[in-house]
Amino acid sequence: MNTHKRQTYLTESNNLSIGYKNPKGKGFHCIQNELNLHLSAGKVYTLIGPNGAGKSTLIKTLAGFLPCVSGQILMNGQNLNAIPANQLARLLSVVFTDRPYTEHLRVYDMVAMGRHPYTGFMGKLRSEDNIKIDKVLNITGIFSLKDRFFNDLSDGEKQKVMIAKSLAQETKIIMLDEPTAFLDFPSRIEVMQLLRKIAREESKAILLSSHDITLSFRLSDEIILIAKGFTGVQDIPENIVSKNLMNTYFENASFNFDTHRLSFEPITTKSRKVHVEADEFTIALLSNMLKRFDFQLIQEGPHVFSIIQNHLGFQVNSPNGMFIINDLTLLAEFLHTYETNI
Amino acid sequence: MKRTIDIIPSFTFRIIAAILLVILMFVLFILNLKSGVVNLGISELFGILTNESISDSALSIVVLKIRFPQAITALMAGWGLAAGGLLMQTLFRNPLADPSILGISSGASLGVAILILISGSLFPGFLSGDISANVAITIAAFIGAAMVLVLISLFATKLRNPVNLLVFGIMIGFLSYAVVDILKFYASKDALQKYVLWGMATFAEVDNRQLQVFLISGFIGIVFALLLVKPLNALLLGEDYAANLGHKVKHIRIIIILVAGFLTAVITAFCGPVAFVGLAVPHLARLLFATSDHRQILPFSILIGGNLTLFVNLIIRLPVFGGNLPVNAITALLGAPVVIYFILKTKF
Repeated sequence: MNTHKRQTYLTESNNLSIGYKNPKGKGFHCIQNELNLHLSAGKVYTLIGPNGAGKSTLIKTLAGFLPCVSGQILMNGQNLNAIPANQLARLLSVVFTDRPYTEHLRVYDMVAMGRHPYTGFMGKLRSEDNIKIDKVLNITGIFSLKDRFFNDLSDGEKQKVMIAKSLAQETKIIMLDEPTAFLDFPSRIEVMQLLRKIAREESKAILLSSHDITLSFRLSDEIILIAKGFTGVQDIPENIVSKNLMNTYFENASFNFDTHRLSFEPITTKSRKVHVEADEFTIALLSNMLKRFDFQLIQEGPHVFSIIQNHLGFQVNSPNGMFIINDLTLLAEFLHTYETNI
Repeated sequence: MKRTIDIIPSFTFRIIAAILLVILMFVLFILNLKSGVVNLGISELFGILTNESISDSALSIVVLKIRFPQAITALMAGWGLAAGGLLMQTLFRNPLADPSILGISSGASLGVAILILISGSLFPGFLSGDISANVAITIAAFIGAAMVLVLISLFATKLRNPVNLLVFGIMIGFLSYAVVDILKFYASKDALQKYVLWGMATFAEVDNRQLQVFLISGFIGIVFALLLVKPLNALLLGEDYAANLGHKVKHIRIIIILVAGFLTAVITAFCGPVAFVGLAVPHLARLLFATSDHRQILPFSILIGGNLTLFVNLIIRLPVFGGNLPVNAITALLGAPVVIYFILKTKF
């Protein structure tokens, strides 16, 4: 950790407390304390936590839209409050959850807005600006959309345009508030992979918030985990998993973080044990199916009944006797009516 | 409405459109000088303009002292109202915003009402002199508009939500019209008639001496508006994005309100509350040029606005209408359908 201390991070927070102004009277309503975060170039950081943990507030505070309740934020070694607006615009760009709604605005013009910190008083684009805009349109894969109206695009395309606008701004730090909200599953993966590629190839620090836990654990370099009543942590996904932090921070009796699937799984309340002998692929399928009907798949030990895969299908040895079930659909039907049958 | 193919108006198209609009402006201007209750031939008109034939001094006076200032007033009013309307629509991210909706025009109306209705009723002779009356009305309108402007600027930082500010403006409008209605109740018949005439808006009340003041103030407002194109473009993305692009949003909001308010105050003071021009013209420009880029839309709105008011000024002076139709009768006929079209088209 000593070597870390000497490094200048792109973004660094020291004992940061975040919150918002109390609607009545003065003072702040504090939602997170003692946040010590640091973002470096080339990495993707994903901010996760339950609703109300302060994800948006944290991003807005780090981006300078909300004042710090206490503590300090350093951008590239400089105190955030001391950086003039036009300089900050060249250091940090933000993609907000809400997409702009503007009639008659073309994708090219939208991306060109990213050049505002560099253009003159009237905002005229120089040839080098146009070259840079073409470049980011290519990186984000939306060059073919450049003459379309922004409002006519799909949510996934709009998100890529806003990311392209951020890239055109040529900032070392990009912060995105829930960039994958509203997107369908393929677009979510696409956006996440794009952000990863940008972080690596353009050497940027990317901070995003997300509710998509599985995707975040697969595609982020580090996770920033916050929750009400806990001190925020920043670590690589594997450490978060191995320290069982997800279950601690998302404390809930009805689900449990599955370290293999990297997702929250419902806790089976009755958890009647079923012994299964099958090939690996079928075990995975049966595990999912059994969970759905409140059974727990085991491969050894005492059990209520057993399912053994053979060349005919599935041999079920239950207290009622032994019988053969031919396919998965019928097996699901059997499990569904197990209670009434027994 | 999904457009699969978007036609980009090419650079040549924009240049040609600009040239055509300028030519149209000159044609409309000449028509404004030439037609009215007495129609002049082109040669006659040029004779008067070049001061060669002083054969008919009465006609010369009609053209130079009445039609010329009226046409120039109409032109400047159109330019300024269109620019002010566009500024407000972008600032409030609301296609229906314009300076009259913000209550600035109603503030001016209140100022004029207080002047005409109170002093006109108490001292019937007070507003009889033509020049002194016009100057007084101008000052009253300006004070009224400026007061609303100061009010809005004071609350602009508190009313951060654009919708709230809009509602605030509309309520200011209701308040001032309520006061005007009370004043009307007690006003004398003559004073009431004078106020109602002002309220219908006209381009005919600015004489050659006042014209200078009007033109200079109008030009100042328009130049300031043109200097704001870059922050206006950023505001298309919303205030947060604009701030992230390095713009000082708080200051810009106030500057835009001041510029748009100043333009409205000046025009309302000299012409009365002209409706619909500021609202409809920017939409026409956006439709025609299929862009929201203020570097294009603002100059084009200004050009279209000037042409529109020149056209309106031509219509209202047609001998069919007795040569003296209220401006707002025509602007409403032209502008209201545009607004209705937009309400139906826009997904709110």
